[in-house]
Amino acid sequence: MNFDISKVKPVYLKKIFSKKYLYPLIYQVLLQILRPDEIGKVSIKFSLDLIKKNFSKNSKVIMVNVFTPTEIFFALNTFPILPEVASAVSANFSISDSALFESDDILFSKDSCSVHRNLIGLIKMGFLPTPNYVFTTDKPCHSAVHSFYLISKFYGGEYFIIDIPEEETEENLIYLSKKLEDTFIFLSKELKIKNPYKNLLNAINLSNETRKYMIEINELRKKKVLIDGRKFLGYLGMTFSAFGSTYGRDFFRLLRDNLKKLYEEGFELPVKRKLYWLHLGPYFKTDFFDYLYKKDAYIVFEETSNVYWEEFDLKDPFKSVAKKLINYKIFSNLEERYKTTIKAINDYKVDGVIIFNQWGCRQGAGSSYLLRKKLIDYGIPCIIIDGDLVDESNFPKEQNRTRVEGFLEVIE
Amino acid sequence: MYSCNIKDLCEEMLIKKIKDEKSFFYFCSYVPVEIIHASSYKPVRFILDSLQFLHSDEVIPKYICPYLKTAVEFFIKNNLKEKNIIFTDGCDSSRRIFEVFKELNFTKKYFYLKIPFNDNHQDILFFKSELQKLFILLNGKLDLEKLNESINLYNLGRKKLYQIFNNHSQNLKSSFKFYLNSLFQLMDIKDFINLDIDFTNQKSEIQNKFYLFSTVYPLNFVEYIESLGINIAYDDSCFGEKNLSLIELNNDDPLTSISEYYLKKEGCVRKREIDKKIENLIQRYKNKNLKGVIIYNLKYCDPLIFFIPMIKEKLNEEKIPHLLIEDDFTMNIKGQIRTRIEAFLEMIK
Repeated sequence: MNFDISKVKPVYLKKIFSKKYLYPLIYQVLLQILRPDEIGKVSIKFSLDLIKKNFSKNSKVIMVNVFTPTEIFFALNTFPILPEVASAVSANFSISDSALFESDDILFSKDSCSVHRNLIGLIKMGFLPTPNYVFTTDKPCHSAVHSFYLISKFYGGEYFIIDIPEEETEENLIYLSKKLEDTFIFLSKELKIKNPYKNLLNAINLSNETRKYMIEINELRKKKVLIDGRKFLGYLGMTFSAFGSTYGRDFFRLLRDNLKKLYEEGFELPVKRKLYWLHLGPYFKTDFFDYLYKKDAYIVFEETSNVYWEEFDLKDPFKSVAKKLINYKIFSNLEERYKTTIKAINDYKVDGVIIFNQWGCRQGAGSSYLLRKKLIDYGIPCIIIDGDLVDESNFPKEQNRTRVEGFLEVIE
Repeated sequence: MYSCNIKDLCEEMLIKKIKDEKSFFYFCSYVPVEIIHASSYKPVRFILDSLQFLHSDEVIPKYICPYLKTAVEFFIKNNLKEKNIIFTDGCDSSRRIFEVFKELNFTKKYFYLKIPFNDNHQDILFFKSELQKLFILLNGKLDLEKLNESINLYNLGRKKLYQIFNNHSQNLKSSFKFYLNSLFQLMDIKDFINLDIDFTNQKSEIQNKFYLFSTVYPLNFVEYIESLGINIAYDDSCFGEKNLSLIELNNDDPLTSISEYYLKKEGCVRKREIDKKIENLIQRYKNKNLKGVIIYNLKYCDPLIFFIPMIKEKLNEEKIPHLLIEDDFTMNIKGQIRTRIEAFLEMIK
């Protein structure tokens, strides 16, 4: 059964979402339609609870970008919305075409990142609720700094930027951890949260547990190709939005259990060519990846699955989180991306690297040509796929297929 | 007294500075020229005219800031290597161009300056520590006395330019003002302060005076629109007239003075302060009795792309005529610009 959410008007969705008693019913209907496994069930529950929390009356809506640490928001009994993730999800439900069209009325230009154009369209159309607070870091890119400001000015929400320094020095750690703690204190007062620090420790614990499962998953993936990495590109909702919650912990624990079972049963995908994928991938429906499978080429690891941070210190959570933010390795600079890629090539015995260039992403694509050159100089075949995460009309499918065909021949 | 063609002087100056080992280049208006000067280097803004992207397409994608891409093109075309440059994280393109310059050996001595978006007390202190690192890298030590001298010199330069622009603002050609401002960013500051300027033949006959809003635009843009009957009375761009405010110097702590100045001054569009920005624009528009606002939208410039919806909304509310021109720094669409400007002038008659 096909369920085309793009045909449903946002106003009806809002009406449905505001009725809390309907959620158990919606959940059961989705289980019947999608027939998910246990991992999928966690993800559906997470999405529904996020919607329920943010669309219900009197709820405080908090929007954050992909690098804002969600742990501090879960600790305050809120369910942060990541508009960038919502933008990708909307492409999967074929809503992005109309959202991009709507955003043109506001932005006048198609030259910026379509993920951010799309999220403005989603708010305009009513697919996302009006925020009360908008938080963004200045990493990995400045697009959220700009698009979130536009949201706060046009639709509402108090706007905050968290500046992340470049290097890890004691001075910079103090500077950033203070900013994080100030944000936490400010919100806990605004939301009248009792014992916020106790909740924070719980969220930090959950985040550490989730991290541990992710590491175990990555270790299993080193041994055998147990899962197609494209699925991990699809897990971005959990990777970016669920740290610090039970949903994140349960999702990655179940995924670890599943992969462990497959490993113990001796399962392995029929892989002939192992690929490493940089950046995210197209989120609209596409058969682009099917072409890879036909050639027995699989993504064995991807940039977004790197666990690059240390376990958070429960005695000093803000400093720990600050340390993670300063030392980010994904969507990072040329040097870090090169090092991370080389490590993945060796750890996962990669045959070739695909760099996905999101149209208009100055941050991700800016030094991609040089990264490709450096990787080729290192001796690993590398290709850049120019495309779009959410705008299907900006993804030259046939051209990319021809290019990938040539690329796969090279690494045969 | 200076009397030769000011445009030629700018071009000669840039060529001279490129050859000078003591030059320290920059692309962003957040770079504190005072620290470069106090370190016995010569601060030089990289001012460029339009170029076709023949070589740079091989190293950077199409949708990176065309101004910075022009700089890459200029370096490749002229086979330039090992220059002293300060980069900033002013925008995403700027962050990536830093890597391109490093990787292609365009840089010798370099610094990557982190600019916080916020400007609270803790951000000013953070930026001060960034400036300290820069000063030590360039000078080997913190010479505060020398820094005080440099701040005073640049304040004199800004004051001189401000007085010229304001005393003659009703009748100076906008291209002349633009090149004079460029000279301020290219010349040794002492030479600029001592420069005796000849204003003969620099008066504009054009009655239509406008406000220019942009980030960065090519040298020939102002000249071209001037030829179409547009006189820019106020340049509100990264390196425009708003940079002529003076540093309030605390002799005991010049680094904090600089940090505060650069973070708190009316900065570029990356600063999320639309209300203040629009207030300033409207006040200037009214005070100078202008005809409208020209927005030069540099293609792929995110800070500007996301700012324009808000500025357009406010300009519409205030019923201020405005024209949005989009270009990729190449000025390849001169015909289109002409048609739009002619129609705009017709409309506001």
